[in-house]
Amino acid sequence: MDLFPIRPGATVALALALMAGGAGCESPQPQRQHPPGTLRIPYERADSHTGCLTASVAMVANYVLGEYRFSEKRLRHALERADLDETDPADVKNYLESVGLHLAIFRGELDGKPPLGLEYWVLQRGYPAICVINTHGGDPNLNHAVVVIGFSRTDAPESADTIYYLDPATADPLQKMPADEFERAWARAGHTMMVVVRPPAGEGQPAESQGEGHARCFTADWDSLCRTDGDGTRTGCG
Amino acid sequence: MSVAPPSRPHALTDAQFEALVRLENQPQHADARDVRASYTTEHEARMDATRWANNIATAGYHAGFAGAILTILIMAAPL
Repeated sequence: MDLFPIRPGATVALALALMAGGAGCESPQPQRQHPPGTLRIPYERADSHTGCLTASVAMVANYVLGEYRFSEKRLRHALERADLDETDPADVKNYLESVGLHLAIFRGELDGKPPLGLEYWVLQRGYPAICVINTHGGDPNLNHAVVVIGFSRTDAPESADTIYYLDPATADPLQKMPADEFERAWARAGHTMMVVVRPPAGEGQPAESQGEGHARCFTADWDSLCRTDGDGTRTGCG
Repeated sequence: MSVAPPSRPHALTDAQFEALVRLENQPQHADARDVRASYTTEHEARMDATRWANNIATAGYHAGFAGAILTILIMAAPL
């Protein structure tokens, strides 16, 4: 008679469950499906330890171009060949200039006000935005680039309650984070924000036709920015 | 409640693009180019290595635990 039946399967399952539970417990909540209202960005995974910026730029550039031209690996190798640093936004910016794209780098804000607002770029202009966040603390060596693709709101006074983003370095690409938590992580990296845009094709015209009413609306937005210069104080930007 | 963005990015006019470039060159924004971003720095790579080592040690521990029970049962089995 078997007094002590052994079930090796149960032991293995317990070990696997413990291992799975112990891994990645610092990660934000994964989101399995794209919620409605988020940008459908083709995902690019960071294959190297330092590839989050190049993967993010590849995702965003492909989306803006509307075609798959950049992979993280290809972009990283191109930067290496040009003796540029893949973790340095200025170097990535220089490289993109050489292929006809502009990487705008500035210190953004969480709100929807042009031209610095994260919500403005994502929700009003339809551009995925690369944000550098730091969820580990103040050490700048732990800065991490992610691609913000959308927001969900409640009726609370805050403008955005949840931020959805693609993380090039996690098993679950689509992540979400409460807006206030994202704001803290973003602030640790100086609210660094990047947007890939196509330089305009012609004089006074957008690179792609968006309709007269739309163009007039956004020209009005940016005319106020054009009047702002000098000491950098923004006035009339919404 | 979610807010839907445009299906495609709205392109910039010349004026908007020039304004964006001017904005980037303002002192409070220009230094954002110096903020580096990397998935795993040396520190985080070491954390990954530690996590893997812990996982392997945990798996070994559980396999050893099951093996110990099996050994005890074999030793205790009536001949």
